Amino acid sequence: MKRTAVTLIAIAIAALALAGCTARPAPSPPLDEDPLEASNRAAHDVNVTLDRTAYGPVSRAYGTYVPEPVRNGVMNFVDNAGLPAIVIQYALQGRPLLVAETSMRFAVNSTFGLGGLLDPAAEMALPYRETNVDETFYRWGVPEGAYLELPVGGPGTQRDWLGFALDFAVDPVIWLTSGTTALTLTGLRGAELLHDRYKLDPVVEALLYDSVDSYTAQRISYLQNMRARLQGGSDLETLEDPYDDF
Amino acid sequence: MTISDPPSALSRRFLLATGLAAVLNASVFLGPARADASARAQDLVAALSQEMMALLRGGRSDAQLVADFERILSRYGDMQIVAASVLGPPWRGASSAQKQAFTTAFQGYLARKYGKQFRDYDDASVAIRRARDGGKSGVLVETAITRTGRQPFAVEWQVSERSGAPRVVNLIIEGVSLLTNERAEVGALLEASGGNVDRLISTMNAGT
Repeated sequence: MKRTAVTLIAIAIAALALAGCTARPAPSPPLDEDPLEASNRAAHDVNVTLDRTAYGPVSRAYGTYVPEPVRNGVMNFVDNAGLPAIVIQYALQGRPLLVAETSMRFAVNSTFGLGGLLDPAAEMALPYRETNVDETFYRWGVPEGAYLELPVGGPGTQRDWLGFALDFAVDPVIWLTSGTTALTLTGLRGAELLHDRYKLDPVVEALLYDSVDSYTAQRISYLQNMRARLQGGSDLETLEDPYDDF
Repeated sequence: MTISDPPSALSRRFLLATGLAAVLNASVFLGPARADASARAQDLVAALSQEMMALLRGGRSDAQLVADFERILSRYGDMQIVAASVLGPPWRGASSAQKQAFTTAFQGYLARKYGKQFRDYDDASVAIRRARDGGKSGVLVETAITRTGRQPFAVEWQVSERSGAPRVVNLIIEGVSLLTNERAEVGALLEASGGNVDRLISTMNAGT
């Protein structure tokens, strides 16, 4: 644990130094631009089938049969194990305050929170705030690329999927753990995917099963949500005035 | 009062107070009307969410809830402009009877679609976080909806006074605009109705 912390701090300092140069976020393409539509729709059909037959029912079983305290414990543990990677990303984004807060959160929950099962840091005004390589890319001015729905993977953009691959590649917890620990963590991350799907069940149902065109409904919801999340809220500049056209 | 009177402490304090107010109050820069618009928008959202929460805690049946929700939509929202914006270009070609029928059908469709989903929110609390003035497009009032044991999520209410009174014209849930999504959905429904607005209206009235 001690060696982990030292390594993390070293990586964070190096990253902060690198992040000195900050770029402007690239503008988002129009919402109706979808150059990969044909292959996306094929992937979407696969995903809806998978969701209907496996992901949806299994996640509802997880939510129904696994008691809430256990589910929350898994969630806290997985979130906590993800914090070292988040520290690195905040450093790469040049945000020292969030580096400090997130490191503090990791220290508190790994000790007083029994290795991350509990979340006492939330009571200490150190809430969980996720970031990934996608946000780092956004802040560096990497353009979002085309919308890309992958079979099994689900919705994303070219930038998101590249970031997602790098999230695994640069996760110090994956590098510093091995054998059973790494396998257990991967298993718990799988369980957490079920938990996410369970919590979002009404939203997923509305998008995938109650929409006339579920591909488009999911695509435009995903893109709007992702952009607002990265910008830190809706954009007042591009707020549409419905009276303008009538 | 004579001209030789020294400036009174009161008037100096008054000057200081107005100066301070000028710094603190954005109304000096935005114009008093805009600051009022922001306050009116927040009042509208506060009243609306209070009424919604009272409904959800009232133990109503699904059908009652949908009917009450429809009433709230027509009272607090400018449903005519929301319907027009969602239907898009076909609105301009529609007769006034069709416009009226579509607005009514769309309102019922929205109430059914979202009314039942709100049922699970009887334990939620709504807090106004901030109001941002988008000028002509209206005021964006941001609320945080919190349910016990869950992360809060953001709902932004776009309030416009272009109809003559403050009315909700859009909802943005975690960045996702209701106008944008319903435009796509109603567009797909219209296409499935062969581009015929009357068929679209009867499809929507049939409900789901």
